[in-house]
Amino acid sequence: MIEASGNVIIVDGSGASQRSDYMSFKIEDGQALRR
Amino acid sequence: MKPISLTLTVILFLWKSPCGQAQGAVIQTPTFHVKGTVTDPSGAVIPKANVGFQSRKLDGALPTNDAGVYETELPLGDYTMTVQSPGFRPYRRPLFRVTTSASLTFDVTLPVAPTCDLVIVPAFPQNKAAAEKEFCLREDFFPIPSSAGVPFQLYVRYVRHKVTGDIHSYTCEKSPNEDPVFVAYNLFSLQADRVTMMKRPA
Repeated sequence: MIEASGNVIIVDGSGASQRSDYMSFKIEDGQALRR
Repeated sequence: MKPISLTLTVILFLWKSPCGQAQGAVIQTPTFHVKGTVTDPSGAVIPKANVGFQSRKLDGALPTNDAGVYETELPLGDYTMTVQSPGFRPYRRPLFRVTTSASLTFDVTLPVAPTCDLVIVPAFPQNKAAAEKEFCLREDFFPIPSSAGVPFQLYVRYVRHKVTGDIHSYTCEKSPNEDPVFVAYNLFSLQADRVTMMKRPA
Protein backbone atom coordinates (compact mmCIF):
# COMPACT_ATOMS: atom_id res chain seq x y z
CA MET A 1 0.00 0.00 0.00
CA ILE A 2 1.38 3.38 -1.04
CA GLU A 3 -0.06 6.76 -0.15
CA ALA A 4 1.14 9.88 -1.94
CA SER A 5 0.19 13.41 -0.99
CA GLY A 6 1.05 16.93 -2.07
CA ASN A 7 1.43 17.76 -5.77
CA VAL A 8 1.00 14.14 -6.77
CA ILE A 9 1.64 13.31 -10.41
CA ILE A 10 1.30 9.76 -11.63
CA VAL A 11 2.38 8.55 -15.05
CA ASP A 12 1.61 5.23 -16.70
CA GLY A 13 3.61 3.58 -19.44
CA SER A 14 1.76 5.45 -22.19
CA GLY A 15 2.96 8.73 -20.76
CA ALA A 16 -0.55 9.73 -19.66
CA SER A 17 -0.47 11.60 -16.39
CA GLN A 18 -2.90 12.44 -13.62
CA ARG A 19 -2.53 15.06 -10.93
CA SER A 20 -4.07 15.21 -7.50
CA ASP A 21 -3.35 16.25 -3.93
CA TYR A 22 -3.71 12.68 -2.71
CA MET A 23 -3.69 9.19 -4.21
CA SER A 24 -3.25 5.71 -2.80
CA PHE A 25 -2.26 2.51 -4.54
CA LYS A 26 -1.92 -1.18 -4.03
CA ILE A 27 1.25 -2.52 -5.60
CA GLU A 28 1.17 -6.08 -6.92
CA ASP A 29 2.06 -8.19 -9.95
CA GLY A 30 3.66 -5.31 -11.81
CA GLN A 31 0.69 -3.02 -11.44
CA ALA A 32 -0.16 -0.05 -9.27
CA LEU A 33 -3.86 -0.35 -8.57
CA ARG A 34 -5.59 2.88 -7.56
CA ARG A 35 -7.58 2.59 -4.35
CA MET B 1 14.19 17.85 -34.95
CA LYS B 2 14.30 14.21 -35.92
CA PRO B 3 14.76 11.99 -32.88
CA ILE B 4 17.68 9.65 -32.73
CA SER B 5 16.49 6.15 -33.37
CA LEU B 6 18.04 2.75 -32.87
CA THR B 7 16.51 -0.35 -34.36
CA LEU B 8 17.61 -3.81 -33.41
CA THR B 9 17.46 -6.66 -35.85
CA VAL B 10 18.25 -10.07 -34.49
CA ILE B 11 19.63 -12.82 -36.64
CA LEU B 12 18.06 -15.83 -35.05
CA PHE B 13 19.64 -18.66 -36.91
CA LEU B 14 21.63 -19.89 -39.88
CA TRP B 15 21.15 -23.24 -41.46
CA LYS B 16 22.27 -25.28 -44.42
CA SER B 17 19.98 -26.35 -47.21
CA PRO B 18 19.88 -30.01 -48.30
CA CYS B 19 22.37 -29.24 -51.08
CA GLY B 20 24.79 -27.83 -48.58
CA GLN B 21 24.44 -24.17 -49.49
CA ALA B 22 24.43 -21.90 -46.51
CA GLN B 23 21.37 -19.79 -46.18
CA GLY B 24 20.47 -17.18 -43.68
CA ALA B 25 17.30 -15.93 -42.16
CA VAL B 26 16.89 -12.51 -40.71
CA ILE B 27 13.86 -12.41 -38.50
CA GLN B 28 12.59 -9.23 -37.01
CA THR B 29 11.71 -9.98 -33.41
CA PRO B 30 8.67 -8.30 -31.90
CA THR B 31 9.64 -4.93 -30.57
CA PHE B 32 8.23 -2.07 -28.58
CA HIS B 33 8.75 1.62 -29.04
CA VAL B 34 10.02 3.79 -26.22
CA LYS B 35 10.52 7.52 -26.26
CA GLY B 36 10.71 10.43 -23.91
CA THR B 37 12.10 13.83 -23.10
CA VAL B 38 14.82 14.45 -20.56
CA THR B 39 14.55 17.71 -18.65
CA ASP B 40 15.99 19.43 -15.60
CA PRO B 41 13.80 20.43 -12.62
CA SER B 42 13.01 23.79 -14.29
CA GLY B 43 11.68 22.00 -17.37
CA ALA B 44 14.63 22.89 -19.62
CA VAL B 45 15.55 20.08 -21.99
CA ILE B 46 18.87 18.27 -21.60
CA PRO B 47 20.59 17.45 -24.92
CA LYS B 48 23.16 14.68 -25.14
CA ALA B 49 21.97 12.93 -21.99
CA ASN B 50 22.96 9.28 -22.04
CA VAL B 51 19.86 7.06 -22.04
CA GLY B 52 20.63 3.40 -21.38
CA PHE B 53 18.53 0.24 -21.52
CA GLN B 54 19.75 -2.99 -20.00
CA SER B 55 18.38 -6.51 -20.32
CA ARG B 56 19.85 -9.99 -20.23
CA LYS B 57 20.55 -9.78 -23.95
CA LEU B 58 21.12 -6.11 -24.49
CA ASP B 59 23.06 -3.28 -22.89
CA GLY B 60 22.90 -0.20 -25.06
CA ALA B 61 22.60 3.53 -24.84
CA LEU B 62 21.68 6.45 -27.02
CA PRO B 63 21.95 10.22 -26.55
CA THR B 64 19.08 12.66 -26.42
CA ASN B 65 18.92 15.07 -29.34
CA ASP B 66 18.98 18.87 -29.15
CA ALA B 67 15.34 18.85 -28.03
CA GLY B 68 16.18 16.48 -25.17
CA VAL B 69 14.31 13.65 -26.91
CA TYR B 70 15.31 10.00 -27.16
CA GLU B 71 13.48 7.36 -29.13
CA THR B 72 14.20 3.74 -29.94
CA GLU B 73 12.80 0.29 -30.68
CA LEU B 74 13.72 -2.61 -28.44
CA PRO B 75 12.87 -6.31 -28.45
CA LEU B 76 10.12 -7.28 -26.02
CA GLY B 77 11.48 -8.30 -22.64
CA ASP B 78 12.55 -7.18 -19.21
CA TYR B 79 14.62 -4.01 -18.92
CA THR B 80 16.11 -1.53 -16.56
CA MET B 81 16.75 2.05 -17.64
CA THR B 82 19.30 4.67 -16.69
CA VAL B 83 19.74 8.29 -17.72
CA GLN B 84 22.88 10.27 -16.98
CA SER B 85 24.15 13.72 -17.78
CA PRO B 86 27.01 15.72 -16.25
CA GLY B 87 25.86 17.96 -13.41
CA PHE B 88 22.76 15.90 -12.67
CA ARG B 89 21.84 12.95 -10.53
CA PRO B 90 21.53 9.74 -12.47
CA TYR B 91 18.01 8.47 -13.09
CA ARG B 92 17.26 4.81 -12.57
CA ARG B 93 14.17 2.90 -13.46
CA PRO B 94 13.87 -0.55 -11.93
CA LEU B 95 13.00 -3.62 -13.93
CA PHE B 96 10.02 -3.17 -16.23
CA ARG B 97 8.46 -5.84 -18.42
CA VAL B 98 7.10 -5.24 -21.92
CA THR B 99 5.14 -8.12 -23.45
CA THR B 100 3.31 -6.39 -26.30
CA SER B 101 4.38 -4.10 -29.12
CA ALA B 102 3.38 -1.05 -27.16
CA SER B 103 4.53 2.52 -27.42
CA LEU B 104 5.92 3.65 -24.09
CA THR B 105 6.74 7.14 -22.95
CA PHE B 106 9.20 7.60 -20.13
CA ASP B 107 9.79 11.31 -19.63
CA VAL B 108 12.63 11.90 -17.21
CA THR B 109 13.44 14.79 -14.92
CA LEU B 110 17.02 14.64 -13.74
CA PRO B 111 17.62 16.07 -10.27
CA VAL B 112 20.40 18.61 -9.98
CA ALA B 113 23.53 17.15 -8.45
CA PRO B 114 23.73 18.40 -4.85
CA THR B 115 26.86 19.07 -2.90
CA CYS B 116 27.01 15.68 -1.20
CA ASP B 117 27.65 12.30 -2.70
CA LEU B 118 24.79 10.00 -3.45
CA VAL B 119 24.13 7.75 -0.50
CA ILE B 120 22.35 4.51 -1.24
CA VAL B 121 20.62 3.41 1.93
CA PRO B 122 19.21 -0.07 2.41
CA ALA B 123 15.42 -0.18 2.51
CA PHE B 124 15.51 -0.84 6.24
CA PRO B 125 18.77 0.63 7.53
CA GLN B 126 20.22 -0.70 10.74
CA ASN B 127 21.62 2.69 11.65
CA LYS B 128 18.78 5.10 11.05
CA ALA B 129 20.65 8.04 12.58
CA ALA B 130 23.47 7.64 10.09
CA ALA B 131 21.00 7.22 7.27
CA GLU B 132 19.33 10.53 8.18
CA LYS B 133 22.55 12.40 8.70
CA GLU B 134 23.12 13.93 5.31
CA PHE B 135 20.98 16.23 3.25
CA CYS B 136 20.90 14.68 -0.16
CA LEU B 137 18.92 12.43 -2.41
CA ARG B 138 18.80 8.80 -1.51
CA GLU B 139 17.42 5.72 -3.15
CA ASP B 140 15.65 2.64 -1.84
CA PHE B 141 14.81 -0.52 -3.75
CA PHE B 142 12.06 -2.75 -2.37
CA PRO B 143 11.94 -6.15 -4.05
CA ILE B 144 8.31 -6.99 -4.87
CA PRO B 145 8.31 -10.15 -6.98
CA SER B 146 5.13 -10.84 -8.89
CA SER B 147 3.10 -14.01 -8.48
CA ALA B 148 4.66 -15.14 -11.77
CA GLY B 149 8.14 -14.71 -10.28
CA VAL B 150 9.10 -11.54 -12.16
CA PRO B 151 11.64 -9.77 -9.92
CA PHE B 152 9.98 -6.35 -9.92
CA GLN B 153 11.32 -3.73 -7.57
CA LEU B 154 9.76 -0.63 -6.12
CA TYR B 155 12.21 2.25 -6.46
CA VAL B 156 12.00 5.31 -4.20
CA ARG B 157 14.14 8.45 -4.54
CA TYR B 158 13.78 10.86 -1.65
CA VAL B 159 15.51 13.29 0.69
CA ARG B 160 14.05 12.46 4.11
CA HIS B 161 12.97 9.12 5.47
CA LYS B 162 11.20 8.35 8.73
CA VAL B 163 10.09 5.03 10.11
CA THR B 164 7.16 4.76 12.51
CA GLY B 165 6.35 1.17 13.28
CA ASP B 166 5.90 -0.50 9.91
CA ILE B 167 5.16 2.78 8.15
CA HIS B 168 7.89 4.35 6.04
CA SER B 169 7.47 8.04 5.25
CA TYR B 170 9.47 9.68 2.48
CA THR B 171 9.52 13.42 1.97
CA CYS B 172 11.04 15.83 -0.51
CA GLU B 173 12.86 19.12 -0.27
CA LYS B 174 11.74 22.32 -1.93
CA SER B 175 15.09 23.96 -1.58
CA PRO B 176 17.81 24.35 -2.63
CA ASN B 177 16.44 22.12 -5.38
CA GLU B 178 12.98 20.99 -6.27
CA ASP B 179 13.33 17.30 -5.47
CA PRO B 180 9.97 15.57 -5.16
CA VAL B 181 9.78 12.02 -3.90
CA PHE B 182 9.94 9.81 -6.98
CA VAL B 183 8.57 6.26 -7.11
CA ALA B 184 8.82 3.84 -10.02
CA TYR B 185 7.39 0.35 -10.33
CA ASN B 186 7.33 -1.51 -13.63
CA LEU B 187 5.64 0.92 -16.10
CA PHE B 188 4.18 3.12 -13.37
CA SER B 189 5.77 6.12 -11.72
CA LEU B 190 4.75 8.94 -9.45
CA GLN B 191 6.16 12.03 -7.83
CA ALA B 192 4.81 13.75 -4.76
CA ASP B 193 5.80 15.85 -1.76
CA ARG B 194 5.25 12.90 0.59
CA VAL B 195 4.96 9.16 0.11
CA THR B 196 4.17 6.65 2.84
CA MET B 197 4.17 2.90 2.54
CA MET B 198 4.05 -0.19 4.64
CA LYS B 199 7.33 -1.95 5.33
CA ARG B 200 6.20 -4.72 3.03
CA PRO B 201 4.12 -2.98 0.35
CA ALA B 202 1.11 -5.13 -0.43
